[in-house]
Amino acid sequence: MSGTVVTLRHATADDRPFLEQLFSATTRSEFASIDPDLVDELLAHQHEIRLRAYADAFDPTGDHIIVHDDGPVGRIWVDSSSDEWTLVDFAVLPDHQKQGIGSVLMADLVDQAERSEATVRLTVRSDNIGAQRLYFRNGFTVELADDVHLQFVRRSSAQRRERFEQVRTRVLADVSLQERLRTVPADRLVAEIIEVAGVLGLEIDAEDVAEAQRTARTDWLERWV
Amino acid sequence: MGLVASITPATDLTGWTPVRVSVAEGEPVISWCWSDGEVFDPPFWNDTANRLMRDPFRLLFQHTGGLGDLERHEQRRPPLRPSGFVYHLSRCGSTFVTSALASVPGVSVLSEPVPLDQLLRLVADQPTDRQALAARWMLSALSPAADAGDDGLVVKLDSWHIHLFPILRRAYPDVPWIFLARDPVEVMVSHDRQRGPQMIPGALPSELLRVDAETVSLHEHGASVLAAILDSALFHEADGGLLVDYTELPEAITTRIQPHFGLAVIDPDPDVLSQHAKNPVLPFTPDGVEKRDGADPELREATHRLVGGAYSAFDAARTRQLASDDEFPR
Repeated sequence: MSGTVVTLRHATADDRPFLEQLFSATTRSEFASIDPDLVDELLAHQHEIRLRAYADAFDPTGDHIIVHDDGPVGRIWVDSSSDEWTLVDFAVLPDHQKQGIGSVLMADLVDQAERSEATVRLTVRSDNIGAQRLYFRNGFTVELADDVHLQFVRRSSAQRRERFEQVRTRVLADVSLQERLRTVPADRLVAEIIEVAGVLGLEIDAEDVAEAQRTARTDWLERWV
Repeated sequence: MGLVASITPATDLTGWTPVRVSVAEGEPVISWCWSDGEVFDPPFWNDTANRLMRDPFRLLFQHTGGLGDLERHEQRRPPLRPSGFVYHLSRCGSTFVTSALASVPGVSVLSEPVPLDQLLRLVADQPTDRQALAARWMLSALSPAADAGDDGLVVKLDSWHIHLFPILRRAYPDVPWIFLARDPVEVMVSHDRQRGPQMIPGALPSELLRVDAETVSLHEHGASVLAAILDSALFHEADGGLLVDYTELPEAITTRIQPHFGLAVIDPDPDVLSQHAKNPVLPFTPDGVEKRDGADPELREATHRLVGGAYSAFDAARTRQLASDDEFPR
């Protein structure tokens, strides 16, 4: 949402009460079937387990508090210590949701990942439809799914082009594959390319093809006069 | 560069056509599009290329490689040799002429093929022999195969290519050529309505156009471009060039151009002669008087001052050719 101003600051030990409050506020609905007297205790326990797991697995320098109107309203933790980034945690207090905060921060994350040519992965509960919409809008695709969670991935444009390039090179070296792709109806081409890539032992998805198509189209129009 | 992969020497590019030339690490990179069975019809080569590139397979799966691929392709698939080249002043009936020639069965036309222009510009700093080879390899790849069933091939060049005449002459020393022109005021008025890139200062290199980069006004720039084209045409005229004026059309197609190119003298399709060359949906209507009468005074003044002499010299040379027994110099 345009006009939404948020800032980030590094999370510190002093933020622990806020993070516990945030965790409780954003995950309480998941425990709707549990005895209400036990939920607070369970949430505190779950938060403790999560803190430890995160501390062991992810780079703590990427842990930030989202500040809006001078107060903490959420958390975004991005582990960018390698080319494969992980969005460890991304949560906003329910009272501050639907104000564009998530969109602003996600656009910023995507921009940074593009510039670093990094892949970003995250996991989201399968019933969190609002978050999934945000990720789809920002070029993420579902990589893995089980009954409870979806793993999303977003590759940079350069990575997507490189993945397609491997397929293109192999196809152009094989007349029978070219014939196969030439003869499918246009609306089946992307699916057929993905299938051909699979036969070649290469991994590719519809976003990779779409990115290659955008680049080829731009190249074509720019290389005119 | 986005989608570059080298082609192995074994790659057979039969059925593929070069569609664009770019540069990577100082070397030309040629992109080839699958075009088997497609005809690059007039009015413009690039219209067909654009249409083909709307097909996602062709867009996504372009071969890319260097000059070596062009050379190998020529050896593997002998091309139809050009019957004639059409140089021109622009907006002077050259599209009309090539469309009319293409309407005769057995005659193919390449109308301002973009990759030829791009390659010629990219190799401009190389020795003439090398430029000529590159031009020939590219034209061979753009041309129909020698055994494809056509008898004639006419290549219409971009208007500024008259400055590169020595390169193309070196590549094709015996191929006849014509130069088409028109009253420059009418040409200027046409460009005033929709400018070609050569008429927009800075859109093409001034060295390519042989004009002073410091030309003051838009009209002065355009008039200087036309004057330089006419000067080049007259400089090379003695080397086999047939000079034709817009006012001679369409009769000159059968009386002068087809015989000069060694093509069978056959009347073009009357439908083609009656339609607008660049937009076949519209009928052709002579508009020379309307263009001259409607010319802006500043345009008229700049044109007379900067192109008047060159066009008069063209007209005198053309009149001499018409009066000469040697109507078809080679």
